[in-house]
Amino acid sequence: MRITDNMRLATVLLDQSRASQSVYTLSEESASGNLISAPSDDPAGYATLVSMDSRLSIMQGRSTAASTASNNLDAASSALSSAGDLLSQAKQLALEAATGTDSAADRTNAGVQVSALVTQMISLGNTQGTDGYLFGGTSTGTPPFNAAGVYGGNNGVTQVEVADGVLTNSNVSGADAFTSSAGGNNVIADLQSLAASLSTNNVVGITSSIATMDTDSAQVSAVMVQAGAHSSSLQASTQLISNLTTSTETARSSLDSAATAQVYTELQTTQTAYQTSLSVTQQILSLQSFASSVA
Amino acid sequence: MSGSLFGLLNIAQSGLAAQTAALDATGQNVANVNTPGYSRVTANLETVATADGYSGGVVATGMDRSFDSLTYGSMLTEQGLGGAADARSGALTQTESVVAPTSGGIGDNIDSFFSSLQTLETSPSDPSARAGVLASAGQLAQSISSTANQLGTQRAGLVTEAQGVATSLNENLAQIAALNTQISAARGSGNEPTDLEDQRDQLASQVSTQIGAQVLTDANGDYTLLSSGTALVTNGSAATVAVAIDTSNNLQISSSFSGGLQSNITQNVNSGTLGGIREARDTDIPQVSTQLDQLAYNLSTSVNAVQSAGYGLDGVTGRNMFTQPALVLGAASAMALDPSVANDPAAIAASTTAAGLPGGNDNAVALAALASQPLGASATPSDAFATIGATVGTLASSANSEQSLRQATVTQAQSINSSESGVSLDEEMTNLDQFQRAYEASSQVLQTANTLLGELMQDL
Repeated sequence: MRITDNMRLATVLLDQSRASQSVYTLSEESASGNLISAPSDDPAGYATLVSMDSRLSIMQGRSTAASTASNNLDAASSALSSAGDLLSQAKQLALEAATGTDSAADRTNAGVQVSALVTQMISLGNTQGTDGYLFGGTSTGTPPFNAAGVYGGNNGVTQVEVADGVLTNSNVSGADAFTSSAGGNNVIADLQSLAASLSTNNVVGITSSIATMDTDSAQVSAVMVQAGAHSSSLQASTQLISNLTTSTETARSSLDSAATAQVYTELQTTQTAYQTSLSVTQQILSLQSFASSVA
Repeated sequence: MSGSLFGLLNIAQSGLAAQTAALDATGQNVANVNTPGYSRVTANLETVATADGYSGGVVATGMDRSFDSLTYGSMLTEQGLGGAADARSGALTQTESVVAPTSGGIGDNIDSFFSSLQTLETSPSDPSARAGVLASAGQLAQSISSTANQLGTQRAGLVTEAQGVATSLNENLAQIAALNTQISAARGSGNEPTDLEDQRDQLASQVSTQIGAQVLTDANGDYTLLSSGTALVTNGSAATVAVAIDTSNNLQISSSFSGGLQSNITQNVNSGTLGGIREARDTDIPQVSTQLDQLAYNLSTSVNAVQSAGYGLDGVTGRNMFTQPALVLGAASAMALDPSVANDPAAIAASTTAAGLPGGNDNAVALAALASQPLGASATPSDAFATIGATVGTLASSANSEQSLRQATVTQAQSINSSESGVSLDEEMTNLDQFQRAYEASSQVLQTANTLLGELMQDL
C-alpha cells in the first residue's frame, strides 16, 4: 500500500483523539469518584443506581418516620408510667384514709391531694408529641381531656410504613388507657370519685376505690406496655432499615464508585499512551520537515 | 530524420521542456499536499517518434490525475454514515443531559416527593410538613413538564439545524452543477481540468457528509450525483433540497429540480447529517417523550386516586394532587399541581376519613406507599424513570459507539483513497531530485550539442 503523509497524520490524529478521550473520561472518573456520570456510561448500571437511590431515599424516610413515631410512643409510655404513679399515690392515700384512725379532717385533706392528682392526670392525658396530643387518637389538634376530665378524643389508630406493606402503630389509645370506652374504667372519673368520697368522709366509697385504683393502674399499665412494644418494634425496624441501607450503599458504591487506585493507574497508563501518541505525531511532522530539508 | 546536431539540440530542448513539466507536476503536488480533496498529478511524458524511426525527443502530453472511483465511492459512503453518526450522537448527548442531569433531575424529585409524604406520615397536621409536600409535588411536576418541554425545544432546534444543513447542501449541489458545466467546456477545448475535478469531488464529499452521496460518471463524462434514492445533480442541473415539518410534526425532506415536481425523499434520508438528525429527532427523542408521557400519566393518575379519596385538614375531599391528564399523549408537558391544592397545604389529604382529622395519617401512608408500588401495571415511579434513563443511555451510548466506529471507518476509507490520490512528500522529493537531474542532463546534452556545433563552425 502506498503511504502518504496525510494518511500517516490522519491515523495518528485518530489515535491521539482516542487517547485524549480516554484521558478525559478517566480524569472525570478520578475527579468525581463516580464511574457513572451519565446514563450512556452504563445504561443498565444507571437504571440500577436510580432504583437504588430511590430505595435509599424510601428507607431514609421510613427510618426518620419510625424514629419520630418511636419517640412519640416513648413519650406516651413515660406519661402512662407517670399516670400509674399517680394512681399508686391515690391508692396509698385511699388505704391510709380507709383505716379507722383517720379523722374526717384527715380524709378531707387527702381528698384535696387526690383532687390535685386528678388535675395532674388530666395534664398527663393531654401530653403532646411532635404532632399534637398523644392520647387523642387522630384528634390531635385539641386537648383530649377538658378541665372536667371528660374525654373528647377518639380511638383512631395511626401507623407508619416501616417496610413495603408493613405497618406499625405509631400511637396508643388514650381512650383505652383512661376511659371506659373499651369496657375498662374511666380513670379520671374514678379518681374524682375517690376525691369525692374522701371529702365527704365516705369510708365505704374510699374502700371500694382501693380495688378500683388497682384495676385502673393495670389498665394504664397495659396500654403502657403496648406503647413500649410498638416503640421497640419501630426501633427494631430502624435498625433493620439501617442495616439494609448499609448493604444497599455498599452495593451502590461497588457499582458506581471508581476504585481510586485502579483509576489512578489507568489514568497514568492512558496519559503515557497519550504522550506517546503526541511524540509520534511530532516525529511524523519532523520526518516531513526532514524530507523537505533533504530535498 | 537521421541524426543531426540540430536534431540533438531539439531533443535536448524537448528534454528540458518535459522535465520542466514533470517538475511542475511535482511542484503542484507539493504545494497541494494539504489541500483537501486534492488528487496528485503526474506529468504524462511520451517519446516523440519520427517517421524514420529515430526518436525526436520527449513531449509532455498533459497531466494525469491519480483517482480511483472505487475507493472514492467507498469514502463517500463512509462519510455519509459518519455524518449521520456525528449528528445523532450530538443530538442524543443533549437529550441525555436534558433527561438525566447530574443532579436535580426527575429521579431526585420523585424521591423528594415521596420523602416529603413520609414526613407527613408522622406529622399529618403539621403545616410545614404539608407545605413540604406541596413544594416537592410542585417541583416534581415542574421537572417532568420542563423536561418534556425541553425535548420539544430540542426537536424544534433540530429542524432549524436541518434547514441550515439543507441551505449549505443546496449551495454545494449548485456549485457541483456549475463545475460540471465548466469541466465539460474545458474537455471540449481539449484540456484536462484536474483542479476543477478535485473541487467537484471535494464538494461531493461534503454533500455526502450532509445527506449521503453516490457519484456516477460514464464514459462520455456525464455526471450524476445520487442520494436518498434520487438524483440531486445531473450534469449541469442541481436539485434543491427542502426541509419542512409534516402534519405529524416529523421532518419532511423533499427535492426538486427547477421547474420539476417536488418529490418526498424523507424515508430514504438515512445517511449524512440530515439522516442523523432525522433519526434522532423523529425516532429516538419521541421514544423518550412517549415514556415520559406514560410516567407523568401513571404518576398523576395514581397519586390523584389516593389524594382525591382522602380528606384535607379543612374536611374537604375529592381534590387531585396533579391536574388529571385526559390522555397519555402530552401528559408530561402538561403536568402541574391541581389548582384545588396549588396554594393550599391544608388540601393535602392525609386522612381517609373526615372523622380522622387532623391526626389521621392513613391516607398519607397510602400516598407515601406509592413510592414502592407499581404505577398502573408497570414499575414503581423511580423504576419507571430508571427505564427512561436507561433508554436514553442506551440510545446515546449506541450513537456514541457508532460515531466512534464511523470515525475509524471514515479515516480508513480516506486513507485508502489517499493511498491512491494523496501526495507523498517522500515520493515527491525523490521525483524532484529525479527530474532535476534529468533537467541537468538535458542541459548538458544541449551544452554538448552546442559545443560540437561550435567546433564544427570553427572547422568550417
